[in-house]
Amino acid sequence: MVSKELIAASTRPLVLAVLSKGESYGYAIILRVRDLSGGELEWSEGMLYPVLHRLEQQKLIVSRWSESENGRKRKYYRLSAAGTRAMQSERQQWFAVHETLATLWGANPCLT
Amino acid sequence: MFDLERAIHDWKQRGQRAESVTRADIGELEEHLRESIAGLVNKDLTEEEAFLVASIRLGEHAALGEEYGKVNGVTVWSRRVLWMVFGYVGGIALASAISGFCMCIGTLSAYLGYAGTPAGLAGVIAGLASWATVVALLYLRTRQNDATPRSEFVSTGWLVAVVVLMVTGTGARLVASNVHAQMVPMDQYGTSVWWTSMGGLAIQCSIMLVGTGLILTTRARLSHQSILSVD
Repeated sequence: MVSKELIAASTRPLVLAVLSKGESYGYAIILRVRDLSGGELEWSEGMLYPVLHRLEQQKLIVSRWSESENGRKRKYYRLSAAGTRAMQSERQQWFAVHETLATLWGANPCLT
Repeated sequence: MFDLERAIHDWKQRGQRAESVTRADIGELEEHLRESIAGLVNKDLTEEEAFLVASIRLGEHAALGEEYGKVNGVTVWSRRVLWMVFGYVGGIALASAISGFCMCIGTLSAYLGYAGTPAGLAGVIAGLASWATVVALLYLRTRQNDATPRSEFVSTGWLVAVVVLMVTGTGARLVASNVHAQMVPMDQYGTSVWWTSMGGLAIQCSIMLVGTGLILTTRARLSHQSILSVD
């Protein structure tokens, strides 16, 4: 399991990365991250929403209310142009950390 | 028998107590909760189990309120100011209505032929009865929301501040009106009092007008963020 601190630090790049694949909403973002991490990344689900709202205030993502397939209102988020730039900057930084650690520890054989 | 809609309704009510969480936020969280429950029911959990698991996964209301507070700071403060203005305007309106009612009762008693003292007393009794009704209604209202801890409802600090303000305010008013009556010459006393009370009335009326305007516009803005408005 990934530690709380690392979860908190990685929420922003993860949200930006998921949204770079297309418009999505809170619950779907959480499912996607849980799926991709094989359950290693367990968010306290409600905490995602304040993060989304902060990203929206920073104009990195845009939201709209729309009707979901079950007829209820759902809030969809998508990346803005500034959000795409922010994601690229995050990407560079995380790869820098990742590459340094990979060089020191050696690549994980399971991932090859 | 477990009632899912009832449970979700109660869950929303608890969530709405946090002042940092707007109606739109609750709507978004509710949609999440429902979807999470549906997913768990598909995995053969009962509705009750699914609700419990989904609400635990979503997180404690207090922790959520704290996180929302960090992003909704402006909303929190505009709500607080709105409540203060609402309390002030509402209090003045209520007090005026009650004193008007007392005067009517007093005048009616005088009209019916009662002497000065009984007519005046009738007005006082009407006032006491009105205020007692208001207090009883407020008490019933707080009893209904008993789940809210008293300490959260009004903090001790605020309570002390209100009492201090009340005591100093009333004291200052008493002293000032006495000094005023002694300092101003008898023949000018009426004019002086007229100006003071009319000035006070004008200020009070302006505050009430501005306050009502503020309530209407802020309310519209806050409900604009509501789940009901779809772009």
